[in-house]
Amino acid sequence: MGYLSELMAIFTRGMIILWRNRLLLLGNLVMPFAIIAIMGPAANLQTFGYLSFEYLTTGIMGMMVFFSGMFIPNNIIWDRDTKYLNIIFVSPCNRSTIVLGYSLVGAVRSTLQILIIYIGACVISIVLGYNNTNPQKGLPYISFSIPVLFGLIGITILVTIFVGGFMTIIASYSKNSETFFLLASIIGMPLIFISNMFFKPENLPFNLGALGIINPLNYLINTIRYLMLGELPPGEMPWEGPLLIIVLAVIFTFLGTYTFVRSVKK
Amino acid sequence: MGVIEVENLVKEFNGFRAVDNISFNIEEGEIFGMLGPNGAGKTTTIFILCSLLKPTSGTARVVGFDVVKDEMKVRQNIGIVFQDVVIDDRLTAMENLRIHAHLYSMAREEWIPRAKELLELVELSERKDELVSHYSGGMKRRLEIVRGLLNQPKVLFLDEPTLGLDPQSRRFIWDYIQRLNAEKGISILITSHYMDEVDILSNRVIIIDHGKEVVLDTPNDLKNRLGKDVLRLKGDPNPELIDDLKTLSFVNDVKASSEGIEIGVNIPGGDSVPEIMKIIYNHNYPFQSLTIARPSLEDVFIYYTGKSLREETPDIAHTMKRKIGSRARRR
Repeated sequence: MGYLSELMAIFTRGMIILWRNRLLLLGNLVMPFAIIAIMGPAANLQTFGYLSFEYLTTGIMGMMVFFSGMFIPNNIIWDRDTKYLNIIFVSPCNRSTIVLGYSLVGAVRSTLQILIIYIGACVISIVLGYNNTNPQKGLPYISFSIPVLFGLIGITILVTIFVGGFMTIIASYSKNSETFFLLASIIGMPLIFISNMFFKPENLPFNLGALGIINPLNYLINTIRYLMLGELPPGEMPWEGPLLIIVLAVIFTFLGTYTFVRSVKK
Repeated sequence: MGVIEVENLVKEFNGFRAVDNISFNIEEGEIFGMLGPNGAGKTTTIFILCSLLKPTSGTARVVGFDVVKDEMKVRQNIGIVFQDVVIDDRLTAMENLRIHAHLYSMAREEWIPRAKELLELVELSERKDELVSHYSGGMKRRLEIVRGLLNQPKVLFLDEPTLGLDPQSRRFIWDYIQRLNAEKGISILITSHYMDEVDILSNRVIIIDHGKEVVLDTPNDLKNRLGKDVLRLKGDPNPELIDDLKTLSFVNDVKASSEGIEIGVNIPGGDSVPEIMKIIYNHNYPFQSLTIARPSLEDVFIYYTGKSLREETPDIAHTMKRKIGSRARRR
């Protein structure tokens, strides 16, 4: 009851604020659909089939999850700057609920985005030439499945929590939100570029694709692609990605909490 | 055993002593005032007592629990209203209280009736479902007091609770604080740099300056310690009259003020009036009024610290601070 109630406090507050900010909510929901509906088929044509609709869709899903997690510390920084955090710190609540609670709010946001992309991609597949038994090259063939849906929700929540914890560590060393966004971009953007989100690892220059083995985003994308397309890079087992992400979510929630509380309390 | 016991408390920030060897006890049901200028160490002391800061040395116990070793137990037993308005104005009053209740793991059946009772007490019941962003500064403060009391604390910390409020709102807040203390028996530690606030509300007052304890006593005893009254003569300052008044045996000090002449006496003010009036009559001095005043806490502060309390008037956003100045008046 205690820990759950405390977690509920942070989560409920975040959800009320998100719900009240209808424009932000709408933007969060419309943007992924717009990207998938416009960019997906267009990129397929522009790259002459090199980047398939499915490859891009799963990449965009990964990007959305990553960005949702990336912006989680923004709320914590806001609370720190407005001194609202003191209200939380002076209460007997467990400190890890702060990072985890905000991460869960981010997870709700990214889950909604992922669902919209997934359902949107299924609709586009039907409209533009879905063929379940014999997928034709160049035509979208993402199909809807309840187990895949639950798998996507699970991986989205875990990755958002992991990225939220990781970015909270960066927020701990940032004096304001501008510094945080700069540092988060410096660290986050290269992770995206050397991942297999949009580019195939074997085509990255200077053998950067080899770094994929230590890039957690690759495991996220691989898991999404495995769930949706049944594809996995050679040598990678289906459980490796989810297991790694669970471990990272736990470790970074703890580290994020520790560094942030330490940075605030003297 | 007091609800708060502080012994030789020290807090240093990079070599700077914000709190310097302070000791005091607060009894159950007491309103204890902490008076001092900005930067005197009032908020730092409160932050240590709330377990938000760790002391460099010394000990502090709140409701019998050590603020370092038993910080969770301390937090369960306290409520606080911070110096800055720290309330989420994107939520309604009830939503703010709900979040707070969750933070203290309070059951729904426990917090809702209590929230309603407290909102009634501070006259916010009718606006409980309104966004806090529509509230005035005084209403936000009242809501913060409700929030501070929601978890039924044994001690309530009020850090400059009326800072930035208009006189009417300040009076309201004082009234609520007195009622809370009388009806609920809650011990309250209040910090302020408003002399009248501490004078009216506190059972005992500690004056601190530069992190050090200057004096601790009841407001009346502190004023009585000065053992004199002040007579204020409204009119133009007359140097010859001032010189003659200084010759009276019971007169401690005479000085020109912006409104006339101030005469400090070491006997009851009323008894000194006939002799003073004689001198005024001899000088044919055209004064507008003569008032007798008891020494205020301001006088006490000046007496013990050698300077007046630097007052501060915040603007609406509490961001710009204006120092009115510090008069050095060594005695």
